[in-house]
Amino acid sequence: METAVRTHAMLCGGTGCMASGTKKVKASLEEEFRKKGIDDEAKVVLSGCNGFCAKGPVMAVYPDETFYQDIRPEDVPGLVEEHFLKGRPYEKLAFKEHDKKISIPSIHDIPFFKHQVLVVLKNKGIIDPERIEDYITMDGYKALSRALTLMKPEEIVKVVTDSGLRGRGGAGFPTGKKWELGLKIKSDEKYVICNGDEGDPGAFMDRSVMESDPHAVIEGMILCGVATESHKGYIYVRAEYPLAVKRLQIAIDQCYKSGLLGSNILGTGFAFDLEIYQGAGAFVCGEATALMRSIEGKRGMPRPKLWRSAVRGLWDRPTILNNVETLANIPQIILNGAGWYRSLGTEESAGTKVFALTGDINNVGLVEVPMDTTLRRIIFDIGGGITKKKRKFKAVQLGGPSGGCIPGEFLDIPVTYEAIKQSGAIVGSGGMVVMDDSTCMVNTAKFFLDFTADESCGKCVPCRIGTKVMYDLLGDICKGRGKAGDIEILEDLSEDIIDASLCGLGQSAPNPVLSTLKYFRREYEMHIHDKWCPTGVCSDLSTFYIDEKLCKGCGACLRACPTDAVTGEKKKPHKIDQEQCLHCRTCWDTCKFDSIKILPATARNAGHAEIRHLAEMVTAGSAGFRGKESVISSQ
Amino acid sequence: MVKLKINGKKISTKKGSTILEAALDNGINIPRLCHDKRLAPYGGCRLCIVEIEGRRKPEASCATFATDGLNIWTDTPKVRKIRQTVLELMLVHHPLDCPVCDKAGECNIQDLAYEYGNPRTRFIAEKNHALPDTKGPLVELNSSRCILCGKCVRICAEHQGKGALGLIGRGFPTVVQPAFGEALECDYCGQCIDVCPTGALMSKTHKFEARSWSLEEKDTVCPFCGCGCTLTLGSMEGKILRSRGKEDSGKGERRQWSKPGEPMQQGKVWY
Repeated sequence: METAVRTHAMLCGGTGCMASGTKKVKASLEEEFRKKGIDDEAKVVLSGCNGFCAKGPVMAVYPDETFYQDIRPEDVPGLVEEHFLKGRPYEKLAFKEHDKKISIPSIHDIPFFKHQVLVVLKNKGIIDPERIEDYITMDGYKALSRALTLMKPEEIVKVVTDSGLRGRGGAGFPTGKKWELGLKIKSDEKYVICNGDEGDPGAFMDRSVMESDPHAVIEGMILCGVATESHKGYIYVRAEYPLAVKRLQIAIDQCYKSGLLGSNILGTGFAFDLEIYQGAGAFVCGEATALMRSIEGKRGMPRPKLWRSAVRGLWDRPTILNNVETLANIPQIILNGAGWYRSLGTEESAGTKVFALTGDINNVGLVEVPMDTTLRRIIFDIGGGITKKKRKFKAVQLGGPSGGCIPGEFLDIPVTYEAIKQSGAIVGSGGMVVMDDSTCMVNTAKFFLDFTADESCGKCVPCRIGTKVMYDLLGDICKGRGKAGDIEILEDLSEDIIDASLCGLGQSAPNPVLSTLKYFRREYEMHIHDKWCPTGVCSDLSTFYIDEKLCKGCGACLRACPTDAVTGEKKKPHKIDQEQCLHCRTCWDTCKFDSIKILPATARNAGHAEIRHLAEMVTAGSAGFRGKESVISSQ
Repeated sequence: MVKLKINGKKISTKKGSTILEAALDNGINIPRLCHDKRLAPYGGCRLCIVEIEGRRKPEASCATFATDGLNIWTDTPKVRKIRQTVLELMLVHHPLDCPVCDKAGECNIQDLAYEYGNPRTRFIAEKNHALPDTKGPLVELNSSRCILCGKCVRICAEHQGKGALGLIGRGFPTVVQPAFGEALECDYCGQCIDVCPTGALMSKTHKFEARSWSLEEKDTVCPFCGCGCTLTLGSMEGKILRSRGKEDSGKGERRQWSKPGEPMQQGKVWY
C-alpha cells in the first residue's frame, strides 16, 4: 500500500519539457526533499504534457494549484524552502505576464490556462500517465463499464452521433456516421485503428494526448470496438514518438493485467485486443488507406477509393479509423452525454479542439478550446500575442501543409470547420503557426511545398511532379528569377493538382500557395516584378540600407553583423558596405530604431540619391509593386 | 447489369465493373497509362479522369465503379485540360530521346503526347539523365524514361507472383529497381517489358536491332515447352528479331496456366 502524501509536485514529463531538462530537475527536487526531511510528505510525479511548453520545464503543485515555470536545478533549493517548507509561492519561478513584473502563482489565474476548456486534455498534468490507478481515479474506464453493461452498440453509436463529434484528424467527417457504417456491415473480422501518425510541421496535439493520457485513447478505442462489434485494434504511431509509444505500451500492458483488454473484458465476455504499430515516419501514412497498407507491411501508398474503408479496409476487412483526439473524446461523451458535448462549440462544430500553438508567439504550447472560440482569443489572450515587441501579427497558418495562411482580418472568426474553410484554410489536425510581419509569405508557401513535394509518395503524377514543379517555380521567384505569368501558372496548375490528385495529400498540397496568393498577392508581385522581398527573408531580393536620419549610432547592428559589413563611429550614423553584406537580416532584427530599411535587390548598384528616395518611400509605406513598371527605373 | 450513359450514349455493363471497363467494353476509348485489366485498379497516372454529372470533382474512371444512372463525359474541356497538364508534368522529366528509343512508334506516352501534347512546357524541365541499368543479362532498366505507372512492379508481384521489381524511394526521386539496386535476376518472363508504356524497360537483346514499325509481326506458338503459349514474333528481312506477348492474342483458354497474351518464361527471350 502506498502512503498518502501531503503534496504532489506534478513535474511535466512531456517531450518538450524532457528536452529542457525535466529529469535533472526531478532528481534535484527529490534530493532536496530528502535533505529537508519532507520526502515522506511531498512527492514528485512525472505527469504528461502540461501544455505550456514555451516555459519548460514546468511544474504544478497540488493541492495548492501553484504553477512554476523555467525551473533549473539550481533554483530547486529556493523553491523547496519557500513553497514546500514555508508554504508561500516562490515568486522567482512563478508565471509573469509578458513584459509585466507581477507574478501570478495560481494556475487558474494564468491567462494561458484560464481561457481553456479541457475535455480531451482534462487529465493533463494531473495524473501520472504511467499509472492506470491515476486514470481510474479520474473516472477512467467508467464509460467503458457503463457501455459494456448498460448499453447496446446501437445506443453507443447514437450517443456519438448525437454529440456531433467530428473527426479531429482534419477532414471533420462525422464520427457517429462512420461508426454507424462500421456497425452495419457484417464481417468475420473488423478492425479499429487509431491514427497517431501526426506529421504536420509544428503540430504536436496527438503526441501530447498519447503521452499525457494514454488510457483515454485506449478507452476510446475499446468503446469503438464495443460500438462496432470489432475485436481487434491497432494504434498506428510514428516511431519518432518514442515516449508516446512507451507510455501507450505501458498502458496496454496494464489493461491486459487488469482485465480491461483481452478475451473477457470486465467479465462481460467481450473480447478486444490492442496492438501498437510503429510507422516509419512517412507523412502520407497519415492518409487512411496508406496507413492500412503500411500496417499490412506494404509500401505506404494510398489506394483509390473504390470502397470506403468501413467496407473494405485493413486486410480487406471493414475498418473504422479514428484520430487520436477523436477517440480521446469518446469516454467523456459516453460519460457526460451527447447534450453536454453539444453545449460546447457551435451547431455544426460541437465540442472542443486541441491546437498546437507555435511560431512567433509568447506562449507556445498546447491549448484546448471550445470550437466557437475566436482566433483572436487563442492567439492574443491564451497565446499572449506576438513575441517581439516591435513586430505585428501578419498571418496564422492553420492545418499544416494542407491548410492555408489567414491574415489579420479573419482574427474574429471562430475556429469551426466551416468558418476556417471559408477563409481558405482548414482546421486540419490543429497546428496553428503564428507569423509576425517579418515573415515572407512567398517563402512560407515555398516551405510547405518543399514539405509536400518531399513527402509525396510518388504514386500519382499531379502530386509527385506537380508539387515539385510548384516548388521549383516558387524557388525561382524567391531567387529573383520570377517572370511575369508565374502567378497565373501557379494558380492554373494548383487547380489541376486539386482536381486530379489521388489522395488528400495532393488534393490539398496547393492550398498554402493559393491562400497566400489570395491574401498576399502583392508580395508575390513585388518578388516577381520589383525583385524585392519586403521582409528581407529572401536574401537574393533584398538590399539593406541604413537611414542616416534615423540611425542613432548605437552600434548594435555593427556588433551583430557577421561579416563586418556595417561600419561607422559611435553616435554617428552607420553604413552598410553592399559588397560585404550577406543579406542575412541580422542588423534589421537588432535595430531598435527602425533605421534599417529593406530595399529591392536592384538597389545594391543604384545611386545614392535613388536609394535615399526609395528609403523614404518605404518609410512612408508608398513603395511597392505598381503594375508592370519596376520601382527602380535605372536598372 | 448496370445501365449508364457515357458521352450521351446509353450503355450497359456487368455489375462490379469500373467506368473504364464499361467504356472499353463498349468501344469508347479513355486514355490511360497505368491500367491493365489483369491488375487491381491503381489510379496513378490520372489520365483516365472523367467528369460525372452531379459530382463535385472529376474522378479516375479506372477506380470508380460504374453504377446505375451515371452520366459520364470522357472528353470535356476540363478533362482535356487536366490530361494535358498531367502529360506536361510527365514530360518535365521524361527525356525526349525518341529518336534513339526502341519504343518509339509503339510508345503510349508518345501517342498521348501527340494527341494532347503542348510542344512548349510552362514549367522548369528537369530531365533525368541517369544512365540505363544494364547489369542484368536480358532486361535493361532505363529509369530516366520511367513515368512510375508501376505496371512492371505490379505485374511482377500481383500476376507473376515474383516481386523482382519494386518502387524505391518516394516522391519525385522514386525509381523502379530490383532489390538493393542489384542486377535483375528473375525468370525473365518479359511481362515487365510488355506492359511498360514507355521505353523504360527494354529487351537488351533487341536494343538497336530494328525500329518497331519495320518489324513484321506474326503470332505463333512457343516451342520451348508443352504449355503452348502464344508468342508474337517480329521479324525483318527474314530474321526473327523480337518476341513478345501481345495483349489478347492466343487461345489461352486451352490451358489454365497460359492465359491470353502471357507467354511463360524463357520461351520469349530465347528465340
